[in-house]
Amino acid sequence: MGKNISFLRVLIIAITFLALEGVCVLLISRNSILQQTQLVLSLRQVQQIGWKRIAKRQYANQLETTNEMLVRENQRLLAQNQWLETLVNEQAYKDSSCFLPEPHRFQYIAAEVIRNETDRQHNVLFLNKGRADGIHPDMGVITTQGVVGFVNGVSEHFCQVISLLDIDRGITGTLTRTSTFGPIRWDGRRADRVVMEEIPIHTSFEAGDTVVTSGFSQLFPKGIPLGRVAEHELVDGVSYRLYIDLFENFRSLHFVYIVSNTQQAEIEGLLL
Amino acid sequence: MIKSNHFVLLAILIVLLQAVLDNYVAFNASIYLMLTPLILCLMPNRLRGIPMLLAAFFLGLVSDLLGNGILGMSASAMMVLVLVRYPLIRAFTNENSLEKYVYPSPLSMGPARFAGYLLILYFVFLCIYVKWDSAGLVPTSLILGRIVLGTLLNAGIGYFFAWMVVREE
Repeated sequence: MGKNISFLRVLIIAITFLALEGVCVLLISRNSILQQTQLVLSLRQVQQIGWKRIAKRQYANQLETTNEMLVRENQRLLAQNQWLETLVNEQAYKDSSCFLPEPHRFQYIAAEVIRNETDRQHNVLFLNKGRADGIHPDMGVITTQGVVGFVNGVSEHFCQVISLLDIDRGITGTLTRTSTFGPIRWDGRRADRVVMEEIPIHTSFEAGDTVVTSGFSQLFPKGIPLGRVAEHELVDGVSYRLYIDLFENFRSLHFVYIVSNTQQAEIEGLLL
Repeated sequence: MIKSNHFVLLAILIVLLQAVLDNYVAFNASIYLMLTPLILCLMPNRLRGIPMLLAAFFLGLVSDLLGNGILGMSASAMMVLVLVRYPLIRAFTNENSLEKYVYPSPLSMGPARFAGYLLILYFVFLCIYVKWDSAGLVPTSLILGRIVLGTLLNAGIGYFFAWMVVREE
C-alpha cells in the first residue's frame, strides 16, 4: 500500500514536471526564433532516429515478399537463359535451309524447402510442391548455385527429393576447361564436397577449374555450375579422382527450382 | 536567525536585485550572474515535490519577465534544479541536522558539503540555461566554459550570501 502511494506520488510529480517543462519549451519557442530553430532541429534528430527504425522494420517485413518476387524473377530468367542458350547452340546450323530452333525444353517450378538433411549417408529433402503443381518422380532439382537432387516421391502438395548428398546416387559432370565428363557422387564425408571419378590421366586440369552439369541426363539442363576442383588423386595409375567443392551450401537451402523436361518422355522412348 | 516570513521578503529582494542586474548592469556575454536560483537553493529543507516545482516555475517566469529575458528559459532550468535539490539535501545532511535546521546552510551541512551542494545545483541549472541561451550560435567548448565560469561565480556568491543571511542557532 505504502509502495503504491509512493509510486503514485512520484508519477504525479513526474507528470507535473513534464507538463510545466512543456509549457516552458512552448514559451521559449514562441518568443525566440533561434531557440525555436534549435528546438526544431533537435526534434528532427529524434524523429530521424524513429524514422530509421521504422524504415528498418519495414524493410525486414518486406524481405519475404521481396524474396518471393526474386525467386519468380529468377525462375523467369532461368527459362529465358535456357532458351537463349538453345538459340546460341543452334547458331552453327543456321546456314541450313531446314533450320528450326529447338523448342523450349526445360521449365522451372519454384519450390520452398520445408525439411532438409545433410548429416546422413542418404539425405533427403522435402519441398512444398506436389502432384497438384505438376511434379512427378524423376524430375531434377536445382538452384542457381548447382544441383540439389532429384524428385523421388510425390504427394498431392509435397514431394520428397533425394539429395545430391546420397552415397548411392550421382550425376554426370563436365570439366569446363577440357569438356571432359565423369560421374559425380558424394563420398559421405563432407556436405560441401563431392567426388568426380574416372577422369582420364591425360586430362589437363588445375585446382579451381569449374565443373558443370553435362546435360547427358534428361533431369538437368547442361551447364549448371556445380563447384570447383579442390584436390585430386591418382587412382590405380589410370585415372584421376577429383574432389569438387560445391558452390551450393546444402545447410542453408531455402528456395529451389524443380526442373521439368518437356521432352523427357520422348527421349526416354527412344532410349528403350 | 531567519524566519519564514523574512524568507519571502528576502526572495522578493533577490528577484528585484536580479531584475536590476539584468536591466541596468552590463556584463560580459559569457558571464551569467544568476541570483534567483539561490532562492530555490536556500528554501526550507522539507519543501519538495509539486510545491517546489510550482515555485520554480513561477519564480523563473517572473525572473524572465522582469529581466526582459526569453520567457520560460529560467523556469525550465529552475525546475530541473528543483528535481536534483532534495536528493542532494538528503545526501549532504545527516538526520540530526535535518531535524535541527530548517534551511540548507554551511551550518546544517558543513562548509564543504554546502559548497558542493551549491556547485552541483548551479551546474545543473546553468547546463540547461546556457544551452538554451546559446542555441545554435556558440560552439560547445564555449558553452562549457560559460557553464563552468558561471557555476564557480554564482556558487561563490551564493555561499557568501547564505553564510551572511542564513544563521540558525
